[in-house]
Amino acid sequence: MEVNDDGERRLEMESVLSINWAELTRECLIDIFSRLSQEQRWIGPMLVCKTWMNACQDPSFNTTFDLETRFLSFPESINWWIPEFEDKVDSLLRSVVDQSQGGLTEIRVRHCTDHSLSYAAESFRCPNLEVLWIKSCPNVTDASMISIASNCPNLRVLDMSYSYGISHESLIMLGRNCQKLDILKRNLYPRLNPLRPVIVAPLDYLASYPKNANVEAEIIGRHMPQLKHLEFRYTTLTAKGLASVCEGCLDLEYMDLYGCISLTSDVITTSTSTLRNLREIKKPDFNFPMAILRMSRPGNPREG
Amino acid sequence: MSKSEKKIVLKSLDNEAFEVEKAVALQSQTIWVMCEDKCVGNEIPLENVTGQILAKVIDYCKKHAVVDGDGDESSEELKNWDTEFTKNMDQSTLFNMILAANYLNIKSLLNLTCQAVADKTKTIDEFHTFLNIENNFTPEEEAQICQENLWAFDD
Repeated sequence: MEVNDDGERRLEMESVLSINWAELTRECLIDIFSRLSQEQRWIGPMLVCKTWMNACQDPSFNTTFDLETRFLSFPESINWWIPEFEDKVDSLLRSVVDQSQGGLTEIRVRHCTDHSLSYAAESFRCPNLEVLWIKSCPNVTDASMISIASNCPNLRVLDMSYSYGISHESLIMLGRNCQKLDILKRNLYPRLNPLRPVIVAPLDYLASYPKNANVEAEIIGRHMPQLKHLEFRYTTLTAKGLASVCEGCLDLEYMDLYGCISLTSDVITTSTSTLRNLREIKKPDFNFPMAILRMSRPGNPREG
Repeated sequence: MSKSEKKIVLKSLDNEAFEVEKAVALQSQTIWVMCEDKCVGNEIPLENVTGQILAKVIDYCKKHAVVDGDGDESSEELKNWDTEFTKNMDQSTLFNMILAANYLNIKSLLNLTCQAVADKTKTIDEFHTFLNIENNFTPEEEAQICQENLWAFDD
């Protein structure tokens, strides 16, 4: 280094020492943050400073929102069922919807409510939504689902399992408006089965399960002929309802009827015989406890 | 001046000159464009990069330069070299390398350095301490953000 450069050099060294990571160009910040998962961005750079938060809110980072992975990494908690927790999920979902600026294609949450879901659906905030998982959302009702059906015509995948606030009315609207919907999951929590796994949910909620599976099945058969994948675990489906589905949804490739104890093996075989593309079917477990349950019912449940 | 065809001089912000093979320098899209445009002579001034950083960038480019007839450098070995290259880099060097890679438009070097930062910093505390960034949220803003931020599940 030349002597007459010394002053300049020292100045430059000082500026190197006082580097400010917060002021890395936005372009570079986005490059770095794109290497983190969405969750890592939320718990890391998002909270560091305003510049970084701003970069994390880039629409390109918010085309999908997957809270399911996070839920899966924790043991189920009864605290998820309280309003305060739902508020948090709602608040988070709304933030992501805002940040996506219309680009959101996938939402995978649990325990959100009508508040955030209606917000997402309305005013063309998520016109490109293709995948919606809203499992275990007691406070999602037809109000927001009908809005989703009206405003998200590209919906392909819907998992509304364990969300008992949603009725068959939503299915009608979804069937009419979402012509691309080919994966539908409407599983219920197991009941009465002595072998059932441990479920963490309020008892009164578990008792409020939808009891008109045949009505839903009839709607699915009539309004969702394009369906390829249907999950209907632990529903009250009987032979009549299954027949409606099998007559209407001829493209079905996968069907899950586990825990539908009102069905018999013969009925399933007969009804599904017309489904040429059916590759896999999960049947109810026709084991000893199930047989006892069927016998204990008054009348013939298959007539229902 | 016969060797001027193959060599090129890069001049740093602090007037340090580096003579390098053209093939080495042309990994930078920025320099490539400058040469294509013939808007510069044989000496290219790089106003955003210091000599200290430029030396490192050139090290990297030399290692990654495609040399005709010499394909012995296995990708595995190159990968290890890259790892070593960023492993012991201090904060300010890493920071300036990212800016330089961005300015010079050397995609693979930008990838490497950005990944190095991403790997080192995955929680908020790491960011504050490791990168020495001042938290400039007001307490109200921080409360608001934390309220919206569910990722830290309460147990």
